[in-house]
Amino acid sequence: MAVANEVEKRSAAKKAPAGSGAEERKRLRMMMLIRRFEERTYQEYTKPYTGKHGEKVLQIGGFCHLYSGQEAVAVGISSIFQKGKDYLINGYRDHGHSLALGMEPRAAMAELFGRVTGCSKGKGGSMHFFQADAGNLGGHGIVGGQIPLGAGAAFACAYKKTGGVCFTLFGDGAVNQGTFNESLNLAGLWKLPAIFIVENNLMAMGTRVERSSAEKDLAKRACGYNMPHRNIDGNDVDVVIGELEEACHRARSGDGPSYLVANTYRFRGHSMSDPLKYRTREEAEKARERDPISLYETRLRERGLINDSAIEQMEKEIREIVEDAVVFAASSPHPEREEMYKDILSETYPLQK
Amino acid sequence: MPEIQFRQALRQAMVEEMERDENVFLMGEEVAEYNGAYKVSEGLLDRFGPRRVIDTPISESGFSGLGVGAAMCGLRPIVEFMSWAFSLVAFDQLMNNTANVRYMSGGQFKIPIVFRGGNGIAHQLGATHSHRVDALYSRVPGLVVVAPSTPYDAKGLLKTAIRCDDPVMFLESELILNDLGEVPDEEYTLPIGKADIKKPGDDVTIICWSKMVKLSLKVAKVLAEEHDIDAEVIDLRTLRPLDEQTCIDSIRKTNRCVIVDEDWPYCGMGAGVLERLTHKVFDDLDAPIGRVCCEDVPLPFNHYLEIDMQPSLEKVVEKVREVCYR
Amino acid sequence: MPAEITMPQLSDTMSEGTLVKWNKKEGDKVKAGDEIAEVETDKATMPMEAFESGTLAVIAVKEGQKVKVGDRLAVIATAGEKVEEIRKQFAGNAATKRPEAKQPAKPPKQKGRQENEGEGGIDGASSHDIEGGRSPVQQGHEQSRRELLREPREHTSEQLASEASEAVKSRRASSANGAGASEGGAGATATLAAPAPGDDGGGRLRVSPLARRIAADLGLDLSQIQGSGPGGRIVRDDVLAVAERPAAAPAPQPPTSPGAAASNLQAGDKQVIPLSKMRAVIAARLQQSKQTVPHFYETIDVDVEAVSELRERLNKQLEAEKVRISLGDFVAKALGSALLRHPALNATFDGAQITRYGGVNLGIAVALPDGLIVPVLRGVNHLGLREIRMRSADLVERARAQRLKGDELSGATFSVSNLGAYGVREFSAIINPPEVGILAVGAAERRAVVRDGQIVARTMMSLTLSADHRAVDGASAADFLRTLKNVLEEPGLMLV
Repeated sequence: MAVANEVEKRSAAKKAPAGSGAEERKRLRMMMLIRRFEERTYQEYTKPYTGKHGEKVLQIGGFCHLYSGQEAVAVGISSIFQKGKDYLINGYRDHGHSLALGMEPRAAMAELFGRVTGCSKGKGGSMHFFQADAGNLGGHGIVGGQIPLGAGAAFACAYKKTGGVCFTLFGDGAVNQGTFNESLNLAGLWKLPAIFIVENNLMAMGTRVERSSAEKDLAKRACGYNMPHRNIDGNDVDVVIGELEEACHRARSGDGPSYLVANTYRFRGHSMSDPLKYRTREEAEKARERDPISLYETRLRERGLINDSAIEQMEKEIREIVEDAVVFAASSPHPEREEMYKDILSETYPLQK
Repeated sequence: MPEIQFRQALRQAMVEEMERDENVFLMGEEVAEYNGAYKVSEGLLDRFGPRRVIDTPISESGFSGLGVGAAMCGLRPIVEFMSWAFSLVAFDQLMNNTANVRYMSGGQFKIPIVFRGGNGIAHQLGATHSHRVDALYSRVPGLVVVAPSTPYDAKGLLKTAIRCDDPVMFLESELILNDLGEVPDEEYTLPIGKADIKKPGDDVTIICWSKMVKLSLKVAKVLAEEHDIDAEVIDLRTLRPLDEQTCIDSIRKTNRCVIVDEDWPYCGMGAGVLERLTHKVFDDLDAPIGRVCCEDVPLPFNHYLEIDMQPSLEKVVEKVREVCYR
Repeated sequence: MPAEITMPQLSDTMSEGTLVKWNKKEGDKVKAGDEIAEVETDKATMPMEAFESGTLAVIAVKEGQKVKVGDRLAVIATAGEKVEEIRKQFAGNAATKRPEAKQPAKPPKQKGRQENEGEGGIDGASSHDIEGGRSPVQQGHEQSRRELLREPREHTSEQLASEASEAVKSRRASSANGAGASEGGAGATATLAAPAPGDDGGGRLRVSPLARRIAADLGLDLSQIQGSGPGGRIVRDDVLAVAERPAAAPAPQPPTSPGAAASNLQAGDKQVIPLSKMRAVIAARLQQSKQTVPHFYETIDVDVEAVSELRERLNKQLEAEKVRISLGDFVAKALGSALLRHPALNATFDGAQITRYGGVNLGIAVALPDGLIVPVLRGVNHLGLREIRMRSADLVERARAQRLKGDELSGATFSVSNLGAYGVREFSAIINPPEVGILAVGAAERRAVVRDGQIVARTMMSLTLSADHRAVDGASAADFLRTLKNVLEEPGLMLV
C-alpha cells in the first residue's frame, strides 16, 4: 500500500530511543506470545470434542477474529499504558490487546472455550474479553459501538482529574459508523484525554478501504474534530510507542485528544470463516516481509540485545505457556446453569437506597 | 406538605443527589444554558457549573455511549433525552452497551447510569416524536425501567435510581410535568421494583403506570359513581423488574383485571405485563384480562385522530364493564 | 377437523344399513341439515342428514352397499379445509384407515465435503457465516469446520414436522385403545343429548377458570348451570347463584345420564342404550359384589350441628385462600381416624384371607355422565382438612375430565359414597370388593329430635355402613359407627 510506505519514511525519525534491552525483550516476547496464542487458537477452533451429553461440540464456538500481523499496535500501547490510571477499549479483535495489558493466557483461552475460568466467566467469548483491574474496558462486538464508551472513559479521567487517558481502538471499517463522528466531535469539543487509534488493516471484513471510504487517507477522516490526526506505521512497535507518547503527553496535559491511523496488515482472514478471496497471495506475502515480529527481532539483534539462544528460549517458554493455557481451558468446567442468571444486574430488587 | 410540580420534583431529586455525591452529573441536549427543553433542569447550571451540568451536541448515540463509558469508570451520569423517541438513534448503545457490558464482562463492571426524559404521546408531535419506549427497554435483561405518575413518586424514585448501581431508564411524560402533588420537605426515597396501590377496590384491578394512572383514577371514579364497580388501581411505577406479586394479590381478590397503557397492542408493554400475570392468576379469573391501549397505527398528527388513537375514559370504562359482565 | 359421516343407528335393532342413494356427489357443497343420502334399515328407508356444513369431499361407499353401524360413509371438508387433502387423507374405503404419513419429497440431503467445495454457496449459512447482519461470505474453513460436527442424518423441518405429527397420532391411537373405557359409550347417546347450557356447540363448556374452580369446590355440575357471560360463558356469579338457591329449590342436578336423557323421549318412543365399556364394567362388578358378598347394613344418625359450625368458622378463616371445606371432608377426616381404630373395617378380603391396613386409602365415588368411578384419596389419616379438600377436588375434577392415572383408581381400603348434595336422606351402597365396607352419606338436614325430653330442631345426618359379613361382624361394625359418630359430634377428637 502506497500509504503505508509513505508513512514508514515519515515515521522513521520518531522511533523510540534504544533502551537497556530488558523492556525491548519483553515487548518482543509479548508479540511472540500473542502470535503463538492466535495461531494455537486457530488450531483449536476447528477441533471438536465430546460434549456433556455425548454430542460433538466445537472447542471454540462463535466468531473469532485473530490478531496475527498487528501485534506491534497492542504491544506499543501496553508499553506506555499506565496501569491504575489509563483505560483501553477495543472492538472485537481483542485477544492481542488483552494479553498485552496483562491478561493471563489461561483466562483468555478459557474464555474462548466458554469456560467458567475465562476472563468473563464464559459469558463474553472471543469478542468480549474484559479485565477491569487492568483498565481493560473490553472488546465490543458491534463495529464502532465502543467508540463513545472510550470517550466516556476519557471523560471520567478528566472529570476526576486522574491524569489518565483512554486508548480507544477500532478498525478501518468503524470509521464509517455514526459513532465515530459523534464521539470524535464530543472528544474534540470537550478536549477529552482520549487517544483514538484506527488499526487500519486495509480491509473491513472483505471490503477494502478504497471501496468503503470516500477519503482513502483515513487520517484525513478526522480533519473536522480539532485534534491532531496522522498516519503511523503500525507494524513498527518503536514507531507506535513514539507516536503514542506524544499523544499521551498532549492528553495528560489537558490539550485534548489525538487520532492515529496505525497502518498494518492482518495475516489471517477477518474471522475464521474468511476464505480471503479479496486479496492476492502476492499482497499477503509482501506484507509478511514487514511482519512486526521479524522487524523488531531484527532490530534487537542488530543492537545486540538478543541472540539465537535467547529467541529459542523465549519460543520454548511461550510454547509451554500457550499449551498450558489450552490444557487449562479444555479441563476447566463449563459454567453451572445458575451462572446464567448472575451478573445481569448489580442490585437486588425491590431496591431502596 | 407543600405541593410542587412533577418537573420540580425531578429537579429536587437531581439537586439533592448532586449535592450528596460529587460523581453525579447531568448531561444532555439543552440541559444547561437553555435551562432544559422542558425546564426540568432549570437553574442547575447556575448551581453546579458547567463541569457537572453539560450541554451536549445533538449526538444521542455519542453522549449516551459516553455516559456508559463514564459509568464504567466510576461516575454516576444522569443523561437526559429531550425525548425518549430520540433514544432510538442510540439504540445500540442502550441495548448492547448499557444492558450487556455487565453480563459480558462476567460482572466485572457495573453501570450506574440514569437515562431520563419525556416518553410517549404528547400533543400533536406526530409519529416520530410520540414513541412509547416502555416495552423496547422493559424487555431487556440488564436494564431497569421506572415510569412514575406523581411528583411524590417521581422524586423518591429518581433519587433511588441515581443511587442505584444498575442502569435505570426513567420514563417521564411531557403531559404530566405540570401536575401538582404533595412532596414532603424532609428527604425520602422510594423503592424501585415495587408497585403502588393508588386506590384500593374489590371488583376489578386496573393496572397502569405513568400518565395512564391519572386516567385510570378518573375511570375508577366514574365506575364507582355510575356503575357501582369498585376498582383497584395499581400503579406499577417500575416496569422492570415487574412487581408481579402486588398485581397477583389484587387479581386474586378481584378476579378481574384490565391493563391500561399507551403502547401499541401487539408486543406492547401491556401485552408483556399480561403474559407475566395471566398464567399465574388463570384459575382466579372470571373473565379474560382486558387491555386498553393505543390503536395499531402510527401516531396521526390530526388532533382528533390523535385522541381517537389513544386510550380514553370511555374506552377503559367500557373494557372494565366488559370484564365485570356489567 | 373434517366431519366424518358414519352409518347411523336408525332403529333399535339395526346393526347394518344399506346406502340406497346419494343425493349429493363428491365436491358438492352441503349445509348442515341437508339430506345427503337415503339409508335403508331393516324397517324403512330413511333420509340421512349432514351435521356439518362444507364440501362433500369423500364418498366412501357406493349406492346399494351394506354398511355396518358406525362405519364411514362420507367425509365433509369443513370451512378452511382443502378437499384434495382430505381426499388424500381418507383415500380408500376402509372406515378405520388412518391417514398416511406425509413423506418428504426428497430424502434428507447428505452434506458431503465434495458437494460444498465446488460452489462455496451459502447453503447452511448460520450465525457463523453472517457477521453483524452483514451479508454471508463464501464458505471457507467455517464450512469444513462445521462438517466436523455434522450428524450422519440431518432433519429438514418438513421431516421433523411430519415425524412429530406421526408421533402424536400413534400416541393418541394407543391411548384410545388402552383407556377407551369411559369414551366408548359416548357415541351412542351423543346425538340424543341436547347441548348443555354453556355448551359452545362443540361439546365444550365455556366457563371462566374461576367459575370452574368454585363449582368444583362446591361440587356443582357445570353442565347444569346457565352461563350469562359472552357466548354463554359460565362466570362466577352464575355458579354462586346456583349455590345460593334456597334448599327448597331443586338441589344441584345429578350429572346427565342415559336415564336423564330418557325424559326427552316422547310417549310411545323407546330408546335402547348399548352398554358403554364403563357401564359394562359397572354392571359386571356390582352384580358380582351383590351376588357374592353377603352385605349387611347399619345406619346411624349423627348430630352435625357442632361440626357444621366448626366448618363455617374454618371456612371464614380460609376465605382468603379460597378453600371451602365441605361436610363430606369432615366425614373423610373422621373416617381416617375411626378406621385406624377399627382395622377390621379398614381391610380387604379375597375369599381366603383378610388383609388389614395401617393407613387409610379412601375410595370416593364420583358420578360421571355415564356411570361412576372411584378414585382413591391416599393416606387420608395423615391429611388435614385443607389437604383433603384440595386433593379430593382435584381427584373429582380429573375424574370428570377422564384424566385419572391408573394407580389413582386402585388400592382403596374403604370407600365412601355421598349423595347428600342430592338431598338423599339415607341409602345403602354396594361394596366395592375386595374392600369390606362402604359408607353411604346422606344429606345434612334439620330434623326434629328429642334432646333432654324436648323436641328440638338439630342438623342431622344419617350414615349407612354396608359391610361384608364374611370379614366383619355386626357388633364390630356398630362399634366402628359409634366411633365415627363420636368423632363427628365432637370434632375436637379429630385432633386427638
